[in-house]
Amino acid sequence: MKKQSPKKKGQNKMEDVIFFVIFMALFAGVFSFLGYLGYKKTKTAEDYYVAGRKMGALVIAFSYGATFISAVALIGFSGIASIYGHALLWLAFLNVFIGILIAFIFYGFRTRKMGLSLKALTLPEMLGNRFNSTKLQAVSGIIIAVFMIAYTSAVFLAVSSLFQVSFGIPYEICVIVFTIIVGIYLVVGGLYAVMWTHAVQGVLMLAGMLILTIGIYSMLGGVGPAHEAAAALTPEILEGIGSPAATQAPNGLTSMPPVLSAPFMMLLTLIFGVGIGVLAQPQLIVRYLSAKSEKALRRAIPYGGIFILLMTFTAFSIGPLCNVLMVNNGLTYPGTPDKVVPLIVSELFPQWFVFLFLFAVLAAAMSTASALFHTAGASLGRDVYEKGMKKGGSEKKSLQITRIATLVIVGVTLIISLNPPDVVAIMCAFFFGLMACTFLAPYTFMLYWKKTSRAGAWAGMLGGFIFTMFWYALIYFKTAPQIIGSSLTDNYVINMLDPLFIALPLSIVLTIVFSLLIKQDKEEQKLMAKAFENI
Amino acid sequence: MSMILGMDPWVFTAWIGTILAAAACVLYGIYDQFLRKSGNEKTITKEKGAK
Repeated sequence: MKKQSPKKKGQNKMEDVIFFVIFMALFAGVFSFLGYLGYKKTKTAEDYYVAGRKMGALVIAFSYGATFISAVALIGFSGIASIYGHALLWLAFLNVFIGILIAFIFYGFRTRKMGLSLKALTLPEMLGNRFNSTKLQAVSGIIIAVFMIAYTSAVFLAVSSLFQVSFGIPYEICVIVFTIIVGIYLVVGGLYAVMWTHAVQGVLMLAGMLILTIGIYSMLGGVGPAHEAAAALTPEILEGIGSPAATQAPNGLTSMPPVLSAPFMMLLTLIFGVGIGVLAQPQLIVRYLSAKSEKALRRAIPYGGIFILLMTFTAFSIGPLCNVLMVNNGLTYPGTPDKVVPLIVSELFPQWFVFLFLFAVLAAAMSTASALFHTAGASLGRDVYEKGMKKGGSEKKSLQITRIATLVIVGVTLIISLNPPDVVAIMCAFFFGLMACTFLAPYTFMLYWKKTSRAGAWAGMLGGFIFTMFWYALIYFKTAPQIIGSSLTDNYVINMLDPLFIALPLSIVLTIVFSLLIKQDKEEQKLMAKAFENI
Repeated sequence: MSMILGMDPWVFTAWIGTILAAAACVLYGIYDQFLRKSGNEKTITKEKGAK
C-alpha cells in the first residue's frame, strides 16, 4: 500500500465537498429507489413490520450483520482494541459464536415459530400476546422506543462528527442529510426497504474492512510479523507516542492483562456486556420474524458467521496494530480511541480508500440507524399507541399509525442529534447491556419454559431494568460520575463490573420465582398452548 | 510465556476460536444444504399462524 505524505488541511476541501455531494446523491438515489420498491410491496402491517415474513437467507444474514455492527463497532471498538490489545478478540469470538450460532439456533428458529403462532410482529408484541397483557407490551415498547432514540442519536452524532472533520461540512448539515435519507426510505418502504438497503450497505462495509485489514497486515509483513511487532512494543515506546496502551495493556498488546486488574475488568465488561447482550436486542429479533422459512434462517447462519468474522475479527485485529504503524510512521496517538483508525486511514492509505472507508462507516451507521428507527417506530406505533392505548384498529389504520410514529421517532432523533445532551452518550454506552438485562430472561423463558407466567415476565423484566438503571446511576465507573458525581464505591472490581453479571441472574431468578408463586391463569394457559403448537 | 503467531496462548485461543466459530457456521450451512434430511420439520404455514 502506497504511503501518502501528510495531507495539508484544506488543500483538497472543495474536491472533498464535491465528492461528498456526488456520493450522497448516489446513496440517496439508490436507497430511495429501494424505498420505492419497498413501498410497492408494503400493503399490510405485516409487510411493514416483518417484510411480509418473506425474506431469504442472504438478505437476513446481511441485514442482521449490518444492524448488529454499527459505526461504533467499526471505529469505536477497533480504537478500544488499540488500547487493550488483541485480548479484545474474545469479543469477536462471542460475536460469532453467541451472536450468530447460538442466537440463530437457540433463539431464531423458536422466535420465528412462536411469532407466527402468536401473530406477533415485534418483541413486545410477542411478550404481550404470550402473557395476555397489553400493558406488558406497552411498557416494553416505551423502554425500547426511549432508549433507541438516544442510541440512534449517538450513532448519527459519531458519524456526523467524523464527516465534519473529514470533509469540513458543518455537523448540522451532515446530521440533517443522513437523517432525512434514512427517514425517507424507512418510512416509505418499511422493513423491505430497510433490509434491502442493508444488503447494499453490508457489501460496502465488507469491502472497506477487507481492504483496510489486508492493507494493514501487508504493511507490517503478514500476520505473524505484524503480531510480533505489536508484542515487541514496550510501555516506554507506547508512552512515546502517547498511547494509553502503555498502561492499559500491561502484559503487551498481544497478551491478556493480569486477572482482576483494571484493564482485565474493563475487557470483561466489554466482552460479556456486548457478547451476551446481543441475544436480546429487539432490532435483531425482528430479523428472525422476517424469515420466509426456518430453512432461510438456517441458511443465513454461514453467511452471517462470515460477515461478522470479516467485520469484528478484522476490526479488533487491526486496532492494536495501529500502534505499530504510528510508531513506524512517526505519528502520535490522536487523543481518543475512535480517532485511531481514521488517523491511520487518512495518513497511510490512498485518497480513494479514505473516501471508500468513510462511506463504509456511513453505511454501517445508516444500517444500524434505520433498523433502530424501524424498531422504535414499531414500538411506539404498534406496541404503545395501537395496542396499549387504542386497543386495536384496521390494517390500513395500523400501517398509517406506525408510519406516523416512525416519523415522530425520526424527528425527535433529529432534534436530539442537533443539540445532543450529555445523557445521549451515557445512554448509548449502556444500550446493549440494558436491553439484555431487561428482556433476555423473560424472552428466553417465554421461548423455553411453558410454566412462565405473566407475573414472572413482569418481575424479570422490571427487576432487570430497575437494577441496571440503579447500577449505572450509582455504581458503574463510566456513568455514575456523570449522573451523581462519583461512584458509590472506589473498588474497581465492583464499579467496573457490567451490571449484566448481577442483573441477568437476578432477572432469571425473579422470572422463575414469580412464575412459580403466581401461576398462569386459564387464558394464559390457552395462549401458552398456542405459542408452543408449532415447536 | 511462549507465543503463538506473536500472541500469548489465551489471546491465540480467542483468535483461532473466532475463526473456528465462523468455520462452524459454514459447516452448519454445508450440513444443512447437503446432509440434513428434509421433511422432518413441522410445516408452519403463514395462513395457519399469521393473519
